[in-house]
Amino acid sequence: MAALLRSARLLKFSPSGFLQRTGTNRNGPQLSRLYSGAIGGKGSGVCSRQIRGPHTDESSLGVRSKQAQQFDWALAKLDSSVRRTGRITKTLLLRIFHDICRTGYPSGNQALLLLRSCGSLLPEMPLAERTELAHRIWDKLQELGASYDASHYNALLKVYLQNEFKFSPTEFLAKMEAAGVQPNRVTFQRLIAAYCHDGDIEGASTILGFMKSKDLPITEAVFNSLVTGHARAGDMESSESILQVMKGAGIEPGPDTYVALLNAYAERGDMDKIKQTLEAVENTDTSLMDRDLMQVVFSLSKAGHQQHVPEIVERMRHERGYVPDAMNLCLSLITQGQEDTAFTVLKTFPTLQQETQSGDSPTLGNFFLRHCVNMDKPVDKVARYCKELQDSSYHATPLQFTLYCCLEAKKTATAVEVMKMMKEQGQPIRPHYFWPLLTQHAKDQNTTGIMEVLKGMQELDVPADVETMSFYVLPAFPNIDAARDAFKEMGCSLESEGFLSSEMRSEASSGNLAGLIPSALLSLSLTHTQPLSWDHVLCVCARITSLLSSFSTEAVSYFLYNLMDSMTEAEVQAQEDKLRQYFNQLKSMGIIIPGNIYRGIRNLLDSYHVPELIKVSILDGKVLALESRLAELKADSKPVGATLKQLILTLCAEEVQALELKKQHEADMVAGSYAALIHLCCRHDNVEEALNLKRELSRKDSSVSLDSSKYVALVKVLTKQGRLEEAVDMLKEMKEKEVVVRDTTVTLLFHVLNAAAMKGDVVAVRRLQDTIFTLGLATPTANLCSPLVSAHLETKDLGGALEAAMECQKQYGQLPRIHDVICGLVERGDTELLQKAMDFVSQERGEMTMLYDLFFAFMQTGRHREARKIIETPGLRARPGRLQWYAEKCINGNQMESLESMVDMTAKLFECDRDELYHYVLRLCKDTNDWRKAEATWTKMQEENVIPRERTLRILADILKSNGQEVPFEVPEVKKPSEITYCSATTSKHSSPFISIPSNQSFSQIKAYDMLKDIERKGVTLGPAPYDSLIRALLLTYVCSVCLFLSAVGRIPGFKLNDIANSLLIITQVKRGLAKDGMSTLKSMLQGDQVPSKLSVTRLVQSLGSHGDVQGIQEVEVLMKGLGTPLNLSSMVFLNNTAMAHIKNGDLDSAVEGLEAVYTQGDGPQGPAASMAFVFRKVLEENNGAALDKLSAMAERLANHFSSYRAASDLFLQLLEANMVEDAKFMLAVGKIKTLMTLIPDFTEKETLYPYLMKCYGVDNDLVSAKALYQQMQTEGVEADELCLKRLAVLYRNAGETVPFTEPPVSNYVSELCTMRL
Amino acid sequence: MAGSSKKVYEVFVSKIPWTLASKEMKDYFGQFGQVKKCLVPFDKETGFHRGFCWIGYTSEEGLNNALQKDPHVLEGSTLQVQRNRKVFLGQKTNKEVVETS
Repeated sequence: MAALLRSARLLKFSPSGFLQRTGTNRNGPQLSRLYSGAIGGKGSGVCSRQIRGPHTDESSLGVRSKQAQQFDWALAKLDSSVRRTGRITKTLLLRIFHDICRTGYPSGNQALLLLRSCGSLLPEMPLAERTELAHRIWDKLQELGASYDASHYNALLKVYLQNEFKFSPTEFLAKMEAAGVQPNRVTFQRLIAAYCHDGDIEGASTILGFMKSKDLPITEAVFNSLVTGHARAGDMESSESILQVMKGAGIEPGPDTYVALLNAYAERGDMDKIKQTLEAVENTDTSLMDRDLMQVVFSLSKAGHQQHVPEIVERMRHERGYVPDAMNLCLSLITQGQEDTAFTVLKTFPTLQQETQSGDSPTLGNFFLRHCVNMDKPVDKVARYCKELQDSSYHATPLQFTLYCCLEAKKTATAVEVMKMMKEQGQPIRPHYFWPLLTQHAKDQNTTGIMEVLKGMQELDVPADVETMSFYVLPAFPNIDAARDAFKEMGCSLESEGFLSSEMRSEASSGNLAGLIPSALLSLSLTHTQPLSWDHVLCVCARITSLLSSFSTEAVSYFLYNLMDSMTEAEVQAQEDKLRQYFNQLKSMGIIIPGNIYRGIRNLLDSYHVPELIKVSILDGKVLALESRLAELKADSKPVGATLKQLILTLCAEEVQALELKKQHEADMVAGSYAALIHLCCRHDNVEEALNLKRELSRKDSSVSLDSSKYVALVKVLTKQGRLEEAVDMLKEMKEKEVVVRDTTVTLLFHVLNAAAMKGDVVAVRRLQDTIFTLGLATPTANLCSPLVSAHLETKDLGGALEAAMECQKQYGQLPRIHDVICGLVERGDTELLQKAMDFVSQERGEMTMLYDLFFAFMQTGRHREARKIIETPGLRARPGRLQWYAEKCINGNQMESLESMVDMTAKLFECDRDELYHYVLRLCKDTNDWRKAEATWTKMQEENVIPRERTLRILADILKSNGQEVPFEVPEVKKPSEITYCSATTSKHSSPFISIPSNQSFSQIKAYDMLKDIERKGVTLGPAPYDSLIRALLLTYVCSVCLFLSAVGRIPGFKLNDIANSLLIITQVKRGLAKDGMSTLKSMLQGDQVPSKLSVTRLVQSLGSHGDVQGIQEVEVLMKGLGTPLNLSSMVFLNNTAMAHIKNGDLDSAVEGLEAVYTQGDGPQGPAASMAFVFRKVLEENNGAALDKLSAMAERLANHFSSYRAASDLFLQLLEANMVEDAKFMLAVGKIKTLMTLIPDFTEKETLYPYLMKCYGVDNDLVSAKALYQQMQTEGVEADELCLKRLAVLYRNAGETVPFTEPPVSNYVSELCTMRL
Repeated sequence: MAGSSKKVYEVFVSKIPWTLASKEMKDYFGQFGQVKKCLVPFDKETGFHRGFCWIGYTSEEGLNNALQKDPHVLEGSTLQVQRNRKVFLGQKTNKEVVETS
């Protein structure tokens, strides 16, 4: 074992590839920089972006609004940025900030996250701007109700330090005190750093004394600050002596101490001392990383000693992560006006980067050039850098790239300057270079901006071409004349091809034919208001086209396209012939339209339903053939066997019975039934019967094959009974018959293998596994391979297990159950085999995997000391998946000690998500309900500067709460409305009440409300958040009285309910019959740009309807139409409720009129889909006979005269629903019955249906239809009853025809019915 | 008109540097055969093109000539040229136009 440990430690010194991948240092990995902000005030941050596309990943930012996931999402976003580049862009940070603001009520950890990002993670932003941003965030979030605790103040301090912001520590402390926040050790440490930064040793000493008096530990960080402090105070001797003091206090000077000292020398430009110190460091245990040296470079440059920079840069070892770090350094240097130093550093970049360009020309320094452009560095300076980059073959096209950056940043003046330089070098300048400059102006209709760019084009002698003109220039002008004027003013040529052609385009697209060829056509006074005959127009068009074609074919095509586009569908359809004529004319003129425009026109014509016009037959015969075949198959496949199969399936529980059934219906057995039976027999271990059935099936129909689950079942049962070869044959047959193998099949196969493994049957497992893989039935996964190892483990044959695992790796690239194998070996102390295993793993999977395997094996077997040594191997990175795997194992197995030590050991692990790990611990705490452990975990997190995610805070609060403990922080709002928890703002000096509102007990809302009042009485001002949650809780149960919450709302000036609360408010008001109040709530919501919920609007409209408030409904409808984002409310909501309002007011005619219009006025947006069932239901519910009569009459009218059956069917269904079956029957009229028949084609009771239909024909006196119906009845074998025949006879007679059948005798009853209008 | 509905022999070109646009592409690819179509989609938001384009030849010969040459280096950048698969499926062509017209 010791040998193993040694081998792990040796890694540190081995020059293997592994070491090159390492990047740890105690400054913390990049991720922890985000979390802990523990680095000094050096400039860092990176821009490694090369040419990148538009901000695609960032553009989706605005859409997100779910606050629940917001923190995680924002963190992930920032985290990934830091991970990739070591920095955050300003845009990203601002977007996240705005997003958090927009959703309202930011949580404490969101605030912390934002604040912490305002320091050195923004190397592209000037220091002052960074602090300004931090303050903006601080104020804004506070305004939005975020409450700040010590962690926030500490984060702000860190930002101050990183941004070299001058502030008064005493004032800062006073501010904290005023806010009732206790400073802690970290606060004092950072204040000392602030004093030392200014060389104020006295100030630092005061705080130091204070810390001592409070018995707070003095850590290395404090000493490091003092090194800086003394140096800045000009006392290098004291500065140097701190190191001795530290040693005296039992603290070894760490790398940060040396960096502080080096920086002190750097500020003085004392290279000798720097060299001495560097040598001295080499003799200690500590070693300095490139990143540390970068700080020295930065200090040298800032202090004006850049001549020494190369000497330091030479010392860098180009460790892994050098490039992003060095990029950060360069960016910071550029931002802070040290671009020359940055350029020196840039030139030391390893040319590695070029390799990624895959043979293309080198592009080193893109980030550098981009940032120079963004920082508005002088053009000639940038040009000098460009030249040097090009001359030394770092970058093939630096000027071009610089131009790209200018264009991207829309810096017109710089861009023009750069282009001039390019032109001098003989590089081409093309019109489309100016488009990025024009886009925004075009969008903003900023003609001044556009003219400025055009002027630039003129200066560069680049004429604006057609595309430039028509896409980017002309659209910005209100009309062509305005453009022409502007051009004249600038002295731009109006005769250029570009201007003229695009003028054509623009005119044609606006449909303004008159404007096209002024001289020739104005005389014809061709305008839209005075349409000429189409012959004339087309003649003109032809002339236009011929004129245009003298410019370019493109112009003609665009003209044609725009002409088609501007014509309406009806116009095109009406003028089809003329247009065809016109097209033929064009053809004879030899005009050729480019393919893409041609297809555009074709699509337009398609959409106008005149595809023939362009003579393209897009009829796809294949599709039709396929469809008809499909239909045929469907019709034919109605086997009786389906029912039989169903029966067998249901009977499957009882094998014998199912088999019995099979015997009875031998002939009707279909494949599915056999399959079900086979499966059944397999389940019952009845192999013989299963095989018999299978044989029988293939005798019946050899083409049928079983599905995979049946096959696997057979394999399983055969294996189980030791008939291995038969099982293998079965697998082979599967392959032969090409049985589809699904994911579930693979799982089933695993179970087969595992079952064999559990019996320790190595032979069987191996045989089956080999067969499965060689046949290719399944791809070898770790899971599928594992049974082979399991089989060995089952027999305690560790050597065999290891061999098996190794074999799997060699054969299939899988290493199944290696953890269990290694654990077994560690447990047994079999060093030799263990070494073998480790060698193998590291050879096959890399040393990282091997170390993790070993780590977990030590953890698992309780050898924590050894485990720690492994995990602390330099260069090891966090593998979240593996850590999670082990954590889950601990949680499931209730192994707190093991879990805790893992969390502890991974503290310094590179890229380790600390919050995630602590969350595991808390989860286990929750399981064991151990609040003490939970609280201790919380303290540890603070110590480690971990920003907890919301869920972490919530789980912690849960544990504390359920144990009756006070929660010392603001708990993020719980998203479930069923439980609203609040810890009130920290603004209170007296109390920090904790309000918990489970909403299923309405009384507790009242209690919470009382509590709130109580707090107010004590003079505590609460933030808006508690009110919001309380109001929402109250609204949810609809118990509040309006004045109750209104008084609450009124208490905070500027307090606004959010969308959800307001929507709930409307619903509540409506429920309480206060439709007017609901209305005003809605109005105020819309004024506040809030979006009401669909439900709330619907309820409001319904309420207005039942109050008879027609006007109110109209008002709401108008309001909703004005809504930016439509709610997708059906217009029937308004229509139906308007009708209800009319009915309520007793104005039945208006109600009917309104509804009828929906169905009679063509197929409006609603079309036949519009349902008025609501009105019918309401009327039926209210038992309003008069209204029902009117509406029924209307429905009948609609059905008879307008063939609109929807209203009738709605009524019919509502009647049925209201259990008024008879009424429903009565209302059946021809149309309705027919609708019904089409709706329910399988309607079986034709005996019921046809007589009704006959009755209707009788009423309508429609003999022809009646005859047809009678015939249909006869062919379908539906017997016509007396009444039916009688009705038909009456029709015949009325038409003066002879009745072709024996008329039934006239009974009183029948004659009565026949003459009735029913 | 009818002529346009004939089969188009298209190549799809990607990795086009931002400095090149329609004209340059047409000029370059014209050496392999008569170019009937050249479509370089531009992003209206950024004003830069999207880095790819379609070149349609009037004949299969042009297409083959273009495909045979490798690499296609234009102003120092290597363009990626491949046969445009989509175009031969009648219905897809419509879709493509919707995107670009």
